[in-house]
Amino acid sequence: MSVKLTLLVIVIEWFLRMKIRYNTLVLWLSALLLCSWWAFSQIEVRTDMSLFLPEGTAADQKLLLNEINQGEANRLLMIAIKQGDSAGRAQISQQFATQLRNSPFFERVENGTPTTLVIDPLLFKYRYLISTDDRPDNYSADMLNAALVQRLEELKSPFPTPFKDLLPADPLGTYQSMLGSWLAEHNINSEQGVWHSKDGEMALLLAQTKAGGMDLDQQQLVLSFIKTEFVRVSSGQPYELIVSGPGTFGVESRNIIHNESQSLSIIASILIALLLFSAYRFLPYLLIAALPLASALLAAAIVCQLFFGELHGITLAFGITLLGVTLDYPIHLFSHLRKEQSVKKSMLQIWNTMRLGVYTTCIAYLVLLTTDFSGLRQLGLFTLTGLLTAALTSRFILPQLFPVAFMPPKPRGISLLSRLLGQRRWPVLVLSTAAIISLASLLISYDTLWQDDIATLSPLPQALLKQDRQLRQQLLSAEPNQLMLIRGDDPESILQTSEALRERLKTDPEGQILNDIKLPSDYLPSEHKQRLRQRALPDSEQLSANLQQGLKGTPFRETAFKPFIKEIQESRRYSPLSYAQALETDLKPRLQSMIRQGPSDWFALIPLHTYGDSESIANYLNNASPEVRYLNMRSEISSLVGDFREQILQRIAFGSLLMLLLLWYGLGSLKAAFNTLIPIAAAILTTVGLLNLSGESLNLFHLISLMLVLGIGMDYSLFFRRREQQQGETLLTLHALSVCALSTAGVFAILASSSIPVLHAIGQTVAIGVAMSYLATYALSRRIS
Amino acid sequence: MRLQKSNLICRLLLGLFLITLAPISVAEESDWSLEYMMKQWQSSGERHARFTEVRELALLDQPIEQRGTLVFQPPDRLIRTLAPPSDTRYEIEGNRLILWQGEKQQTLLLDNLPELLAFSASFRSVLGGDIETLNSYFTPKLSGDKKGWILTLEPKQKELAAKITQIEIEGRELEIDRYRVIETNGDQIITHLAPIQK
Repeated sequence: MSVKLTLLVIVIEWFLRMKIRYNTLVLWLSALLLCSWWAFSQIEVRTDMSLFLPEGTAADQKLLLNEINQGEANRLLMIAIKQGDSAGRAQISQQFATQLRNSPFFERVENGTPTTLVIDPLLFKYRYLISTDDRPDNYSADMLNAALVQRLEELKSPFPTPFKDLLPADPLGTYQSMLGSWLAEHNINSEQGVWHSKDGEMALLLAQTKAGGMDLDQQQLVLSFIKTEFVRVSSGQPYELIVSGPGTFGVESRNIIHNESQSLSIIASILIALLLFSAYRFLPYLLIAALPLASALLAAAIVCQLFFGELHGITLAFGITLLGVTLDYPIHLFSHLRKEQSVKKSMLQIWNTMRLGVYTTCIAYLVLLTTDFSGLRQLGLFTLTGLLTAALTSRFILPQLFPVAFMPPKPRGISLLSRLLGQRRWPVLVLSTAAIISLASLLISYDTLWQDDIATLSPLPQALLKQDRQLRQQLLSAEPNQLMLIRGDDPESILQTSEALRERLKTDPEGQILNDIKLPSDYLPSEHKQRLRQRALPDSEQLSANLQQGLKGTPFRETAFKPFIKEIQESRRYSPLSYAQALETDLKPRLQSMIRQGPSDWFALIPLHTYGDSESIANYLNNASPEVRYLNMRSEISSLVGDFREQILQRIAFGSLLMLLLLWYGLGSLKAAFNTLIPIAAAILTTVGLLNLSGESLNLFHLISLMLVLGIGMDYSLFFRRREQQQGETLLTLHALSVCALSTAGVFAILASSSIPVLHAIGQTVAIGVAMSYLATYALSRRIS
Repeated sequence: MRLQKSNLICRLLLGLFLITLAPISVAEESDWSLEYMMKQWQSSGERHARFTEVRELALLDQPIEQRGTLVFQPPDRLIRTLAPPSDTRYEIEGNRLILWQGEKQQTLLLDNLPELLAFSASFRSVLGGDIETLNSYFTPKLSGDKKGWILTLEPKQKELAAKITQIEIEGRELEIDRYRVIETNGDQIITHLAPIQK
């Protein structure tokens, strides 16, 4: 008790000795508290990843992006059960599948358990119009005879055939062959009644979630449900569970990113605290420096929520990273504080320079606001709001924290800096060497500078991806990357296109590569085709005559096939089976996964199982028919990202021009504006060159990081070029900028150590960029002045 | 009320008593039981037989007849070879059914087809003396005596029961003479067996 009291007294004493104005601090803290209460209660952090894909401009791209989020393939989870013996696994697979089917999370769960043949009455009724074998001579005496001989052989089988009861109405075995042609999953290896891998080591299941593959919160729920159910079902037995699929990947990635960024940000915070403390040896600064940043984050989150109605988790994560730079504002103030003048006056003296830096940096983020990428627009607004808030609170509220007669602590390391200030040659030397080398490397390998394949950004270990490929092969499920797109005004026209394509694939030798794909018309012929087939059906007299002749030499009773003759006659009068009707049959899951209604028309997205050369497949399909198109999700997204990168580069060029104008206005001369920009340009160029030299391919995240570098560099350049107000101020500015650069570069170097490609990219770029900006602005601005 | 209750308990007790007596009395009557036969078959090893199979189907004017040989290798492998000119051979082992036509081989996993698995148990588990499997798919009933017995199998599974009413296996001592399948629509498959001594 007394120990606690003593501790409390020490803390209170320490606070009181902080020599700051408590009323302002308390007011500020309460305002922050109030805002965070609102933010935590109102803001909904969205996590589904679709927001962070660029919006497609072309209709096909939009379909594709929708497919990525909602598509069948991305809602599919592959589940494997390992260890134990196959009988035990089969048992677990059965119980597990039942549990999953009974839960509200799945649309379907399959484990290969056969269901006894259930005859779909509607499909059986329409068999003579929709079955796949439609040879014109199907009903001739010869064909009938051949079919009957085959049926007789089937009857001789030592096992009861499930089709025996259908024989009187279907001696041709039409329904039988129709079902056979549909069953692709039939070929998945099975043991003990359930799907097993071919080596017999794993029982396999397929589960389709109701939630979209990119809806990570839902996927996370599904995943933890699967895991708890599995533990319950296997109850202590040594079985092992593997779940793979787009949903799992999303959740796993998010977890990896979450965990790693959390630990990294803790390390980074400690680093900053240590750095700030060693630079000033004044503890209250740690709290004071954090206040503008905290205000910035809160204001940014609130504005985003009000404006977009939501806040994305990625916006928040990146936003925090980008806004970390607002720590520089208080640092500028801390370094420029002097005994002789009031805090407010010191602030006023640096404000002009700081303001220009803030404005120009804002332009960089304004660029983001104009892009076709809703995630980045959010990020733009977030950082813009944050920057302005941090700048304004630093300018107007921060000085209020200090009492009128404030005795500022002396910035540490000034003597070291003054010695460095004498050295002017080495920064120039280092910078120019780096610049020359990197420029050369850029010129040599400009073509490979960019990497737009977002798959390379995946933080997942290779082993997981390999496991996914293996499961996919076992379960015969297509990689969701290669697709064929057929568009049409209605399902009927899509079916007709699909029929024409099938015809082409059958006859054209070049079409061989695609012969094994499943087209929608393989399940349901178009109504047009069904009408043609109706016309080819023989009339009752003809058929009876053919049958009589065909029966010769077989032991079948002539009267046995009356139902057959009757049903062929009825088939001639049916109106064709439409897409809508077919959705009420067993064909529903197959048809629905293929043909769907888009916003303006109908489309079919057909996964290409083939592992053939994608370029020749693309060529073939794109030339096959104007309605047919080949889509490669991966390259399609890459090109989207590429387009987007082009767009953002153009905007940046435009933004730079704006910055130049702003600087011209702010500094009062075009020459001064150029002189401010040139070191930054040199720094950025060198940064890009060094990245390139280190073997890094640049992606969008490097680009966004470079924008951050641009803003930071602008700040440095402006401060370095600032006209000295008082004696010795150069040294103070150098101190401020050195603390800023060290803390920023340090934090981002920590990020660069991350195993997550995105964090690594950002960390590396900003760390190098800040170092180069510091060097360049220091070296060049000294030179020029 | 009270009377009725005690009456019920009396009947229950009597029933229980009878049940405990029942197997003993059967065993005393004759030692020719299903358990005994199955136990003997369990240790009979590999067996060969010639068969003639006749199918009487409603669809056909005349029955189909097939001949060939059957080989049973314990515990559950059965090979059914048709006599020439046919070159068809069925091999069933475990959950696998392999159909040979000449050199051509086609494998079917029976566990995808529960009624087939049940059906195959009707001869495989009888030949192998696997009473547990037999009981899991059928309700077996043995009648007659050592010199002439009939084992009736009624399918328990609804999938198989939809197709097959019952299976009758006839024999003398430990030899099976006739295997008869009666389908729900009245069709019949009758197989006569003649052992080949090796």
